[in-house]
Amino acid sequence: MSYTIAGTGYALPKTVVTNTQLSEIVDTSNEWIITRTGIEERRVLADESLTELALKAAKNAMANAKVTSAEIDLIICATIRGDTITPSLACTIAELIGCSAPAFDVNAACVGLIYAMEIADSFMASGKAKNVLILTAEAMSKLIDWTDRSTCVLFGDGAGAMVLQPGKSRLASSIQSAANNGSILMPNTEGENSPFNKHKQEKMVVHMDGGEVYKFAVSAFAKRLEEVCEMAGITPTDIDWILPHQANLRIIDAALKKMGVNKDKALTNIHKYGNMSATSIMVLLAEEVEKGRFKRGDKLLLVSFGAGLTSGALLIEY
Amino acid sequence: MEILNKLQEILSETKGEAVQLTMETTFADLELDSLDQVDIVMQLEEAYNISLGENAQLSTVGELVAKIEEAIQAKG
Repeated sequence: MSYTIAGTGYALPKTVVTNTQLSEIVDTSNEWIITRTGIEERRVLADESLTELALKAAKNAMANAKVTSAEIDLIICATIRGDTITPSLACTIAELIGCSAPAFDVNAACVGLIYAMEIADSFMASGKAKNVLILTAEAMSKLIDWTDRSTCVLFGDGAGAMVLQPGKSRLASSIQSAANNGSILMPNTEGENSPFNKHKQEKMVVHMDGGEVYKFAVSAFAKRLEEVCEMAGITPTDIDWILPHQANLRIIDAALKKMGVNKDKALTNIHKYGNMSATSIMVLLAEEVEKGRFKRGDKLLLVSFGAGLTSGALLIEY
Repeated sequence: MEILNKLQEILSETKGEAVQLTMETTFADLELDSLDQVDIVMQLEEAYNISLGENAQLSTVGELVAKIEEAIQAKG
Protein backbone atom coordinates (compact mmCIF):
# COMPACT_ATOMS: atom_id res chain seq x y z
CA MET A 1 0.00 0.00 0.00
CA SER A 2 1.33 3.43 -0.79
CA TYR A 3 -0.48 6.67 -1.53
CA THR A 4 -2.18 8.73 -4.14
CA ILE A 5 -2.11 12.53 -4.38
CA ALA A 6 -5.67 13.50 -3.46
CA GLY A 7 -5.28 17.27 -3.60
CA THR A 8 -2.70 20.02 -4.06
CA GLY A 9 -2.48 23.72 -3.30
CA TYR A 10 -0.02 26.61 -3.25
CA ALA A 11 0.32 30.22 -2.18
CA LEU A 12 2.86 32.85 -3.18
CA PRO A 13 3.73 36.28 -1.84
CA LYS A 14 2.09 39.18 -3.72
CA THR A 15 5.35 41.10 -4.17
CA VAL A 16 7.14 40.44 -7.46
CA VAL A 17 10.83 41.40 -7.64
CA THR A 18 12.26 41.64 -11.16
CA ASN A 19 15.89 41.25 -12.20
CA THR A 20 15.96 44.95 -13.07
CA GLN A 21 14.89 45.81 -9.52
CA LEU A 22 17.74 43.63 -8.20
CA SER A 23 20.20 45.42 -10.47
CA GLU A 24 19.41 48.55 -8.45
CA ILE A 25 20.48 46.79 -5.21
CA VAL A 26 23.52 44.77 -6.36
CA ASP A 27 25.89 44.91 -9.34
CA THR A 28 24.03 42.65 -11.80
CA SER A 29 21.79 42.88 -14.87
CA ASN A 30 18.63 41.30 -16.25
CA GLU A 31 20.61 39.69 -19.08
CA TRP A 32 23.30 38.27 -16.76
CA ILE A 33 20.71 36.60 -14.51
CA ILE A 34 18.58 35.21 -17.36
CA THR A 35 21.58 33.80 -19.27
CA ARG A 36 23.07 32.06 -16.26
CA THR A 37 19.93 30.90 -14.45
CA GLY A 38 16.76 31.30 -16.51
CA ILE A 39 15.20 33.44 -13.75
CA GLU A 40 13.23 36.54 -14.76
CA GLU A 41 11.51 37.40 -11.47
CA ARG A 42 10.75 35.97 -8.03
CA ARG A 43 8.18 36.46 -5.24
CA VAL A 44 9.34 37.90 -1.95
CA LEU A 45 7.53 38.14 1.41
CA ALA A 46 6.71 41.75 2.22
CA ASP A 47 3.65 42.20 4.41
CA GLU A 48 2.62 38.52 4.61
CA SER A 49 4.11 35.87 6.90
CA LEU A 50 5.32 32.45 5.78
CA THR A 51 2.72 30.94 8.13
CA GLU A 52 -0.08 32.77 6.26
CA LEU A 53 1.14 31.36 2.94
CA ALA A 54 1.45 27.83 4.33
CA LEU A 55 -2.05 28.03 5.82
CA LYS A 56 -3.54 29.19 2.52
CA ALA A 57 -1.77 26.38 0.63
CA ALA A 58 -2.92 23.80 3.21
CA LYS A 59 -6.56 24.92 3.01
CA ASN A 60 -6.38 24.79 -0.78
CA ALA A 61 -5.00 21.24 -0.84
CA MET A 62 -7.53 20.04 1.76
CA ALA A 63 -10.43 21.58 -0.19
CA ASN A 64 -9.20 19.94 -3.42
CA ALA A 65 -8.86 16.59 -1.62
CA LYS A 66 -12.23 17.10 0.10
CA VAL A 67 -10.84 16.28 3.54
CA THR A 68 -11.53 18.07 6.81
CA SER A 69 -8.93 18.86 9.45
CA ALA A 70 -10.47 16.18 11.69
CA GLU A 71 -9.60 13.58 9.07
CA ILE A 72 -5.92 14.58 8.79
CA ASP A 73 -3.85 12.19 10.87
CA LEU A 74 -0.30 13.40 10.13
CA ILE A 75 1.20 16.77 9.17
CA ILE A 76 4.75 17.02 7.81
CA CYS A 77 6.22 20.35 6.76
CA ALA A 78 9.35 20.55 4.60
CA THR A 79 11.12 23.79 5.41
CA ILE A 80 14.57 25.12 6.26
CA ARG A 81 13.01 27.48 8.78
CA GLY A 82 9.50 28.60 9.62
CA ASP A 83 8.52 31.88 11.25
CA THR A 84 9.42 30.42 14.66
CA ILE A 85 12.14 27.94 15.57
CA THR A 86 9.60 26.42 17.92
CA PRO A 87 6.74 25.69 17.53
CA SER A 88 7.49 23.99 14.23
CA LEU A 89 5.61 25.35 11.23
CA ALA A 90 3.75 22.01 11.02
CA CYS A 91 2.51 22.46 14.63
CA THR A 92 1.52 26.07 13.93
CA ILE A 93 -0.56 25.00 10.93
CA ALA A 94 -2.08 22.12 12.92
CA GLU A 95 -3.23 24.65 15.52
CA LEU A 96 -4.59 27.04 12.87
CA ILE A 97 -6.63 24.37 11.10
CA GLY A 98 -7.78 22.88 14.42
CA CYS A 99 -6.08 19.51 14.08
CA SER A 100 -4.37 17.49 16.80
CA ALA A 101 -2.54 14.98 14.60
CA PRO A 102 1.22 14.55 15.06
CA ALA A 103 3.00 17.41 13.28
CA PHE A 104 6.67 18.09 12.66
CA ASP A 105 9.09 19.84 10.28
CA VAL A 106 11.68 18.19 8.06
CA ASN A 107 14.77 20.06 6.93
CA ALA A 108 16.20 18.47 3.81
CA ALA A 109 16.53 21.84 2.04
CA CYS A 110 15.55 21.64 -1.63
CA VAL A 111 14.80 17.90 -1.40
CA GLY A 112 12.39 18.41 1.53
CA LEU A 113 9.24 17.53 -0.40
CA ILE A 114 10.59 14.16 -1.56
CA TYR A 115 11.90 13.35 1.95
CA ALA A 116 8.49 14.30 3.44
CA MET A 117 6.64 12.11 0.92
CA GLU A 118 8.92 9.19 1.78
CA ILE A 119 8.26 9.64 5.51
CA ALA A 120 4.51 9.84 4.80
CA ASP A 121 4.75 6.62 2.81
CA SER A 122 6.33 4.85 5.82
CA PHE A 123 3.57 6.05 8.16
CA MET A 124 0.92 4.97 5.66
CA ALA A 125 2.54 1.60 4.92
CA SER A 126 2.58 0.77 8.64
CA GLY A 127 -1.06 1.79 9.03
CA LYS A 128 -0.27 4.78 11.27
CA ALA A 129 -1.81 7.37 8.94
CA LYS A 130 -4.44 7.55 6.20
CA ASN A 131 -4.78 11.24 5.37
CA VAL A 132 -1.41 12.98 5.38
CA LEU A 133 -1.03 16.72 4.91
CA ILE A 134 2.36 17.60 3.49
CA LEU A 135 3.38 21.24 3.52
CA THR A 136 6.34 22.97 1.92
CA ALA A 137 7.18 26.53 2.90
CA GLU A 138 10.32 28.56 2.41
CA ALA A 139 11.17 32.16 3.21
CA MET A 140 14.48 32.23 1.35
CA SER A 141 14.45 36.04 1.42
CA LYS A 142 15.11 35.81 5.18
CA LEU A 143 18.08 33.47 4.75
CA ILE A 144 20.09 35.05 1.96
CA ASP A 145 22.69 37.80 1.90
CA TRP A 146 21.11 40.68 -0.03
CA THR A 147 24.57 42.19 -0.65
CA ASP A 148 25.88 39.00 -2.35
CA ARG A 149 25.04 39.23 -6.04
CA SER A 150 26.00 35.59 -6.66
CA THR A 151 23.25 34.24 -4.38
CA CYS A 152 20.56 36.87 -3.77
CA VAL A 153 19.35 36.74 -7.38
CA LEU A 154 18.67 33.00 -7.24
CA PHE A 155 15.94 32.56 -4.64
CA GLY A 156 12.28 33.25 -4.00
CA ASP A 157 9.62 32.63 -1.34
CA GLY A 158 6.51 30.46 -1.49
CA ALA A 159 4.45 27.66 0.01
CA GLY A 160 2.63 24.58 -1.22
CA ALA A 161 0.71 21.61 0.11
CA MET A 162 -0.63 18.20 -0.82
CA VAL A 163 -2.92 15.66 0.79
CA LEU A 164 -1.92 12.02 0.42
CA GLN A 165 -4.42 9.19 0.79
CA PRO A 166 -3.97 5.42 0.47
CA GLY A 167 -3.40 4.40 -3.15
CA LYS A 168 -0.89 2.92 -5.55
CA SER A 169 0.89 5.97 -6.96
CA ARG A 170 4.38 5.49 -5.58
CA LEU A 171 6.42 3.37 -8.00
CA ALA A 172 10.06 3.90 -6.93
CA SER A 173 12.25 6.29 -5.04
CA SER A 174 15.83 7.02 -4.08
CA ILE A 175 16.83 9.54 -1.43
CA GLN A 176 20.39 10.17 -0.32
CA SER A 177 22.82 12.47 1.43
CA ALA A 178 26.39 13.30 0.43
CA ALA A 179 29.35 15.15 1.97
CA ASN A 180 28.76 18.90 2.00
CA ASN A 181 32.40 20.02 1.73
CA GLY A 182 31.31 23.58 2.38
CA SER A 183 29.49 23.85 -0.92
CA ILE A 184 26.21 25.16 0.59
CA LEU A 185 26.17 26.34 4.15
CA MET A 186 24.20 28.61 6.43
CA PRO A 187 25.69 28.89 9.94
CA ASN A 188 23.36 29.20 12.91
CA THR A 189 24.83 31.93 15.05
CA GLU A 190 21.65 32.83 16.88
CA GLY A 191 22.00 32.39 20.63
CA GLU A 192 25.76 32.89 20.53
CA ASN A 193 25.40 35.76 22.95
CA SER A 194 26.11 33.45 25.89
CA PRO A 195 28.98 34.81 28.03
CA PHE A 196 30.65 31.38 27.69
CA ASN A 197 30.51 31.25 23.89
CA LYS A 198 33.91 31.17 22.21
CA HIS A 199 32.72 30.73 18.61
CA LYS A 200 33.63 33.31 16.06
CA GLN A 201 30.55 35.24 14.91
CA GLU A 202 29.80 34.42 11.30
CA LYS A 203 27.21 36.05 9.10
CA MET A 204 24.03 33.99 9.36
CA VAL A 205 23.27 33.79 5.65
CA VAL A 206 23.49 31.20 2.87
CA HIS A 207 27.00 30.73 1.49
CA MET A 208 27.33 28.82 -1.75
CA ASP A 209 30.12 27.60 -4.03
CA GLY A 210 28.27 27.78 -7.35
CA GLY A 211 30.66 25.61 -9.35
CA GLU A 212 30.70 22.76 -6.82
CA VAL A 213 26.91 22.90 -6.40
CA TYR A 214 26.45 22.79 -10.17
CA LYS A 215 28.66 19.70 -10.46
CA PHE A 216 26.84 17.92 -7.62
CA ALA A 217 23.42 18.92 -8.93
CA VAL A 218 23.95 17.68 -12.48
CA SER A 219 25.45 14.35 -11.44
CA ALA A 220 22.97 13.70 -8.56
CA PHE A 221 20.00 14.59 -10.82
CA ALA A 222 21.17 12.13 -13.48
CA LYS A 223 22.07 9.36 -10.99
CA ARG A 224 18.80 9.50 -9.01
CA LEU A 225 16.80 9.56 -12.26
CA GLU A 226 18.67 6.51 -13.54
CA GLU A 227 18.21 4.64 -10.23
CA VAL A 228 14.45 5.07 -9.97
CA CYS A 229 13.96 4.11 -13.61
CA GLU A 230 15.98 0.96 -13.02
CA MET A 231 13.98 0.15 -9.85
CA ALA A 232 10.69 0.60 -11.70
CA GLY A 233 11.94 -1.34 -14.73
CA ILE A 234 11.38 1.54 -17.14
CA THR A 235 13.60 3.78 -19.27
CA PRO A 236 13.68 7.58 -18.89
CA THR A 237 11.72 7.84 -22.14
CA ASP A 238 8.76 6.10 -20.46
CA ILE A 239 8.38 9.03 -18.06
CA ASP A 240 5.58 11.38 -19.10
CA TRP A 241 6.64 14.45 -17.13
CA ILE A 242 9.73 15.39 -15.17
CA LEU A 243 9.31 17.88 -12.32
CA PRO A 244 12.86 18.89 -11.50
CA HIS A 245 13.96 21.13 -8.65
CA GLN A 246 13.97 24.68 -9.99
CA ALA A 247 17.47 25.83 -9.04
CA ASN A 248 18.87 26.74 -12.42
CA LEU A 249 17.64 26.07 -15.94
CA ARG A 250 21.15 25.15 -17.00
CA ILE A 251 21.36 22.37 -14.39
CA ILE A 252 18.11 20.91 -15.74
CA ASP A 253 19.30 21.15 -19.37
CA ALA A 254 22.74 19.66 -18.59
CA ALA A 255 21.33 16.72 -16.58
CA LEU A 256 18.70 15.86 -19.20
CA LYS A 257 21.28 16.07 -21.98
CA LYS A 258 23.53 13.72 -19.99
CA MET A 259 20.64 11.24 -19.70
CA GLY A 260 19.54 11.68 -23.33
CA VAL A 261 16.05 12.81 -22.24
CA ASN A 262 14.05 15.26 -24.33
CA LYS A 263 13.90 18.52 -22.41
CA ASP A 264 10.28 19.10 -23.44
CA LYS A 265 9.38 16.54 -20.75
CA ALA A 266 10.71 18.81 -18.03
CA LEU A 267 8.24 21.25 -16.52
CA THR A 268 9.58 24.55 -15.22
CA ASN A 269 8.42 27.69 -13.45
CA ILE A 270 11.85 29.01 -12.44
CA HIS A 271 11.47 32.06 -14.71
CA LYS A 272 8.60 33.30 -12.51
CA TYR A 273 9.69 32.22 -9.03
CA GLY A 274 13.44 31.46 -8.88
CA ASN A 275 14.61 28.72 -6.51
CA MET A 276 12.09 28.28 -3.69
CA SER A 277 13.99 25.39 -2.08
CA ALA A 278 11.66 22.64 -0.75
CA THR A 279 8.61 24.35 -2.18
CA SER A 280 9.76 24.63 -5.81
CA ILE A 281 8.55 21.21 -6.98
CA MET A 282 5.40 21.43 -4.82
CA VAL A 283 4.30 24.73 -6.39
CA LEU A 284 5.19 23.41 -9.86
CA LEU A 285 3.12 20.27 -9.29
CA ALA A 286 0.13 22.21 -7.89
CA GLU A 287 0.21 24.72 -10.77
CA GLU A 288 0.35 21.97 -13.38
CA VAL A 289 -2.48 20.04 -11.67
CA GLU A 290 -4.52 23.26 -11.76
CA LYS A 291 -3.80 23.63 -15.50
CA GLY A 292 -4.98 20.05 -16.07
CA ARG A 293 -1.58 19.00 -17.43
CA PHE A 294 -1.64 15.46 -16.04
CA LYS A 295 -3.88 12.52 -16.83
CA ARG A 296 -4.47 9.86 -14.19
CA GLY A 297 -1.90 7.16 -14.91
CA ASP A 298 0.79 9.57 -16.18
CA LYS A 299 4.25 8.75 -14.88
CA LEU A 300 5.72 11.76 -13.08
CA LEU A 301 9.30 12.00 -11.91
CA LEU A 302 10.10 14.38 -9.08
CA VAL A 303 13.86 14.94 -8.83
CA SER A 304 15.78 17.26 -6.58
CA PHE A 305 19.19 18.13 -5.13
CA GLY A 306 20.24 20.68 -2.56
CA ALA A 307 21.91 21.68 0.66
CA GLY A 308 22.97 18.90 2.98
CA LEU A 309 23.96 17.80 0.48
CA THR A 310 20.74 15.97 -0.20
CA SER A 311 19.31 14.48 -3.35
CA GLY A 312 16.32 12.38 -4.29
CA ALA A 313 14.02 11.19 -7.02
CA LEU A 314 10.51 9.85 -6.74
CA LEU A 315 8.59 8.17 -9.53
CA ILE A 316 4.82 8.30 -9.16
CA GLU A 317 1.84 7.37 -11.23
CA TYR A 318 -0.51 10.32 -11.05
CA MET B 1 46.32 16.00 -30.27
CA GLU B 2 43.50 13.66 -29.34
CA ILE B 3 42.76 15.69 -26.19
CA LEU B 4 42.77 18.93 -28.17
CA ASN B 5 40.29 17.43 -30.65
CA LYS B 6 38.04 16.25 -27.83
CA LEU B 7 38.17 19.69 -26.23
CA GLN B 8 37.33 21.25 -29.59
CA GLU B 9 34.32 18.94 -29.93
CA ILE B 10 33.02 19.72 -26.41
CA LEU B 11 33.56 23.46 -26.78
CA SER B 12 31.88 23.59 -30.18
CA GLU B 13 28.83 21.90 -28.67
CA THR B 14 28.79 24.22 -25.66
CA LYS B 15 29.12 27.34 -27.83
CA GLY B 16 26.69 26.04 -30.44
CA GLU B 17 29.17 26.86 -33.25
CA ALA B 18 32.40 25.39 -34.63
CA VAL B 19 35.32 26.51 -32.49
CA GLN B 20 38.93 26.35 -33.73
CA LEU B 21 41.40 25.83 -30.91
CA THR B 22 45.16 26.03 -30.63
CA MET B 23 47.27 25.42 -27.53
CA GLU B 24 47.58 29.19 -27.18
CA THR B 25 43.83 29.96 -27.22
CA THR B 26 42.83 31.53 -23.91
CA PHE B 27 39.60 30.86 -22.03
CA ALA B 28 39.02 34.61 -22.01
CA ASP B 29 39.03 34.52 -25.88
CA LEU B 30 36.35 31.83 -25.77
CA GLU B 31 34.04 34.01 -23.64
CA LEU B 32 32.89 31.16 -21.40
CA ASP B 33 31.04 31.92 -18.20
CA SER B 34 31.74 30.09 -14.93
CA LEU B 35 29.03 27.46 -15.46
CA ASP B 36 30.26 26.72 -19.00
CA GLN B 37 33.71 26.10 -17.53
CA VAL B 38 32.35 23.73 -14.87
CA ASP B 39 30.31 21.95 -17.53
CA ILE B 40 33.35 21.48 -19.79
CA VAL B 41 35.47 20.19 -16.89
CA MET B 42 32.69 17.70 -16.00
CA GLN B 43 32.50 16.43 -19.56
CA LEU B 44 36.29 16.00 -19.73
CA GLU B 45 36.35 14.21 -16.37
CA GLU B 46 33.71 11.80 -17.63
CA ALA B 47 35.34 11.28 -21.04
CA TYR B 48 38.74 10.40 -19.55
CA ASN B 49 37.54 9.01 -16.19
CA ILE B 50 39.76 11.47 -14.29
CA SER B 51 39.37 14.15 -11.66
CA LEU B 52 40.66 17.62 -12.42
CA GLY B 53 40.25 18.87 -8.85
CA GLU B 54 38.18 21.72 -7.51
CA ASN B 55 37.69 24.86 -9.57
CA ALA B 56 40.89 24.58 -11.58
CA GLN B 57 41.93 28.09 -12.61
CA LEU B 58 43.25 27.87 -16.15
CA SER B 59 44.16 30.54 -18.62
CA THR B 60 45.03 28.69 -21.86
CA VAL B 61 43.88 25.58 -23.70
CA GLY B 62 47.50 24.31 -23.51
CA GLU B 63 47.40 24.45 -19.69
CA LEU B 64 44.15 22.49 -19.59
CA VAL B 65 45.48 19.85 -22.01
CA ALA B 66 48.62 19.50 -19.84
CA LYS B 67 46.45 19.10 -16.73
CA ILE B 68 44.37 16.39 -18.42
CA GLU B 69 47.53 14.51 -19.54
CA GLU B 70 48.87 14.71 -15.99
CA ALA B 71 45.60 13.33 -14.56
CA ILE B 72 45.57 10.49 -17.11
CA GLN B 73 49.17 9.55 -16.24
CA ALA B 74 48.47 9.71 -12.50
CA LYS B 75 45.64 7.23 -13.08
CA GLY B 76 48.22 4.83 -14.58
